[in-house]
Amino acid sequence: MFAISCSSKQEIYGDSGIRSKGAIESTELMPMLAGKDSLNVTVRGKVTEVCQKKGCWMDMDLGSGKSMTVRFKDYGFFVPMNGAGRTAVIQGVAKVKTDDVNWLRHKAEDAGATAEEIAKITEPVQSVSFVATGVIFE
Amino acid sequence: MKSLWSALLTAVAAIFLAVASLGGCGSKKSSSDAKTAAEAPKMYRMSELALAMEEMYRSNAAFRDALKSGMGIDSIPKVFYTIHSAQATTASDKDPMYHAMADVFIERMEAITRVPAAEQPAAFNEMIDACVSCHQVKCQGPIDRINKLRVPDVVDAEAGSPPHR
Repeated sequence: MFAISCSSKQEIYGDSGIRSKGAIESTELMPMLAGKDSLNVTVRGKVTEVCQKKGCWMDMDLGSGKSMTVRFKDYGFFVPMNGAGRTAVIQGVAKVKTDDVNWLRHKAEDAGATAEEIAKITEPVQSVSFVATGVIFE
Repeated sequence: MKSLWSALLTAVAAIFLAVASLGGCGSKKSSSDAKTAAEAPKMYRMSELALAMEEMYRSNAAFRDALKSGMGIDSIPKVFYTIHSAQATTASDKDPMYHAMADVFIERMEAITRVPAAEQPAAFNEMIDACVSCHQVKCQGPIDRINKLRVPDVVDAEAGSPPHR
């Protein structure tokens, strides 16, 4: 289902061909996406949250109080559920998209939100999403 | 002379003990082990239901390929019938709505085997619709992957033409 390889300092999930060389910082992503629908890119940033059910998504800090959700291509691999707070390099496609209410609620539930907090989610939100083919935890 | 030797041996022993307590190989190793354990990646272990879903996915990928090659589907693997009983990652996900949608899914799987071969690709895609409908509510993660199971260019029986031209 997923591939993991470990060196002394880093762990690779998904495509083992991922390289951190040439990665942009996550704070550079939003300006690079301006005027584009999507962008194939390698990004380095801080992981702020990870799905606590399976590790099937994670949030990465984009700076200025923003973050993006990173999912993994074809649900083909997961990342460590205790990965929040670490720096990761992700390779894949970034897109500007609208998160529907079902997805926002699912994500809130996975993150341990209360039923009351989940019920308050009633509006879709525009955001940046990322489908990663590989992830390096540094 | 004897007391000098005794003092010397005592001093050597004291130095040895001090070095050991300050981080000899043994203590350094246990400290390193504790750190490694604390930082070990905490990975998801698939539940019974997740494993069953993976097996269903592989079966349906094989069915899709068979249908694309003009072959038919005449039976449903047993794993599909574990959808009600297999233990989920989160037990509360298996609520009445889950079971109702699972019934629809099984009914559509079985319907594939009941229709003429020419109609099986459309029936198969309707079964995929049922998968996606449930995952929209229960777990959106695999939806893109599930949609890739669709048999392409299926003729819409009502419109009489492929639906996505």
